[in-house]
Amino acid sequence: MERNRYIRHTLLDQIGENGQKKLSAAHIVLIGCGGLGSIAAPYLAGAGVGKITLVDADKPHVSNLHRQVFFDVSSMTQTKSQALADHIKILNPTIEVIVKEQMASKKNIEEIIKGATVVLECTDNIQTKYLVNDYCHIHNIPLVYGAIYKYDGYVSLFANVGKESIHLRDIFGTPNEDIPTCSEVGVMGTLAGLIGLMQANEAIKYITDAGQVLIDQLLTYNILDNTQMKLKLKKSYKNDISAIYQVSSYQSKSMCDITEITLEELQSERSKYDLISILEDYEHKDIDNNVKHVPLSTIHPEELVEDLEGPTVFYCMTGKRSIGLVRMIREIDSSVEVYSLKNGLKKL
Amino acid sequence: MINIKYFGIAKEIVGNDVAFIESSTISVADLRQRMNEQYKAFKQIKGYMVAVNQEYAIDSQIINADDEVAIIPPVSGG
Repeated sequence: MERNRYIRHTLLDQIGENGQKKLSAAHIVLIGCGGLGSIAAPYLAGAGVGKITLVDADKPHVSNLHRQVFFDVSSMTQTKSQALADHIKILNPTIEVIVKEQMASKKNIEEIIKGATVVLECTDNIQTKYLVNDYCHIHNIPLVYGAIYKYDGYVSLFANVGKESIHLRDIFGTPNEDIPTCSEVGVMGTLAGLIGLMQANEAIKYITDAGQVLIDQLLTYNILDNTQMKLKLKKSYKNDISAIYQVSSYQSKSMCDITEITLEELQSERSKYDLISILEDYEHKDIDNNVKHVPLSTIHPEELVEDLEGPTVFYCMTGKRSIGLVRMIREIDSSVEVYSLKNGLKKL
Repeated sequence: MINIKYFGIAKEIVGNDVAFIESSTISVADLRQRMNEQYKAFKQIKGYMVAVNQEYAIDSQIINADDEVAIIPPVSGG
């Protein structure tokens, strides 16, 4: 039976026995098993990619199922990476599948990508897209980039053969966190499928030397009117990526991430933060002798944002008023680094 | 007259897929400035790519009448 598994591929002049062997020897690391990744993975497994690593710590949610069609209501308690692995192992038992129930971060990226022939970046996190881009560029690992917004999708292949190779920062220099995500504005389910499949297609073509891959090109695709553009890219990013990598945390500053810090964290890096007490005059108490006092009743968040000079921690009596203020400030500008002191003065 | 095509969220900000600007020639940097002034929400898509005749255009590039210009905003969905 296995003899015939790839016969429709080996018959093709662009793949053949030789291309099929290259696929079998390849290791694809797929970061993100959601809209793009969950569609790409079964096709890569079907195509006989010898080793596939699936990376995702999320569990499927019912609102994912309109586009992540290889999950179902019985797989909601598993992680996406495990559920997808279970599916593709049955689809093609001849390949090796590795599951990493993790979110990619600077801490684990080396371990996640180790040994990859090609990486597919399929997350919906702008910081992760830059983390994976920078790491792959520095370490000369080919990367297939995909991204979607409502009805528009982008695909490109960053070959990363050397410093001159074009990468994500040559298209969009720095992470922009103000662009709404699929969960905020919606996305056409079929768009996620199309772009995920285009990513798988580029990876297969790259590995087998079939056709022309999207190196130095950004493909844009609009599903409402079917317009496609293949935009020729240019080297435009001048900074040293290794230096950028050293100083970047690749952590989102948005509301869903850390809004509180503990007294211990504050004290261990005290010089990094400005500290503002938002307690009213009658209850005010200094934590140390470098506290600014701005009673909450006098604060206009829009004006306050303008006045901040660096990373700032606010505190109140219990941490409730200060976290409310931090949320308001981040609503105004998500890139402002403001935190609330957890539990306020209670822990003092 | 320069014809500009908008993608993704830029389309929503401008309220149209395609719009013209009354100018026979303009640099990419000036086009960016003009867009940022005309549409305050363009701040949200800072770092967007400008393509001229289907090629990435740097800020100093001059756009001429009848060039095909596209504004491609960054996107993070996946």
